[in-house]
Amino acid sequence: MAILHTINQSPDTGNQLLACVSRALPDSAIILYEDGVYAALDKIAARPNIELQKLDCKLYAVRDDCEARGLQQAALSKMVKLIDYPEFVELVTQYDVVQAWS
Amino acid sequence: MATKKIMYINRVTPHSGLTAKESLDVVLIGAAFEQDVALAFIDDGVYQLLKDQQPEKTGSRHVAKSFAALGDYDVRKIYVEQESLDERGLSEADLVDLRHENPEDDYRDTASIRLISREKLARLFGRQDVLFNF
Repeated sequence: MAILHTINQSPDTGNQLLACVSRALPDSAIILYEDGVYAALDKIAARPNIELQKLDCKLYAVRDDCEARGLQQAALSKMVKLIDYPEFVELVTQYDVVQAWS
Repeated sequence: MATKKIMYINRVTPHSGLTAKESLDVVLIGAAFEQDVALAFIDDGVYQLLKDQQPEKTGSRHVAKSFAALGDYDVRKIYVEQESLDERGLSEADLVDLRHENPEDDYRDTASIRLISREKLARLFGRQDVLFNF
């Protein structure tokens, strides 16, 4: 069962991301959207308690949410693939279940 | 009316609800009453000042642009905590360039944003009459 995790909160506002990364399995994926995209900042993704680079799963962030917040692509982790909302929906259909962390 | 030293501490992201906008509204009201106003941006609050935000992409409000009006309301002290920038891989170059005309320097066009260490800002909290948190 492949799980799609979604995160829409800054990692310094709440603990959605921490809850997720400690449970993300290798064949799963994580989508960062709304305030969740701040975790795509390279400096945050590499924090010792987050370490997105150590996760063996696919990482996505919604491009419009990054641009709305002024996050420059150069500042984002290379691990994270930018997607639009139609691709978000497409991913939802591809996974067995969605875990929308709240 | 006696002048009070008022500091507004901003700690939330710009596009998650209306907190950031409400903060700005309250700041401008305080400034209109000629109080000694300062702003502090710490933790996730530093994201409010990122330049090149395009909130129209997701239908939210443009907070950073409204900050440009602060100088016209004689809000000249905008403190940004250095450690909060560092923890997010950000620097002063990533922030909006807010300006004001400095009455103590022949009304010269002057930068409003001042980077400050966590320790110094914490001490500065203690030198205010009122702290408002958003």
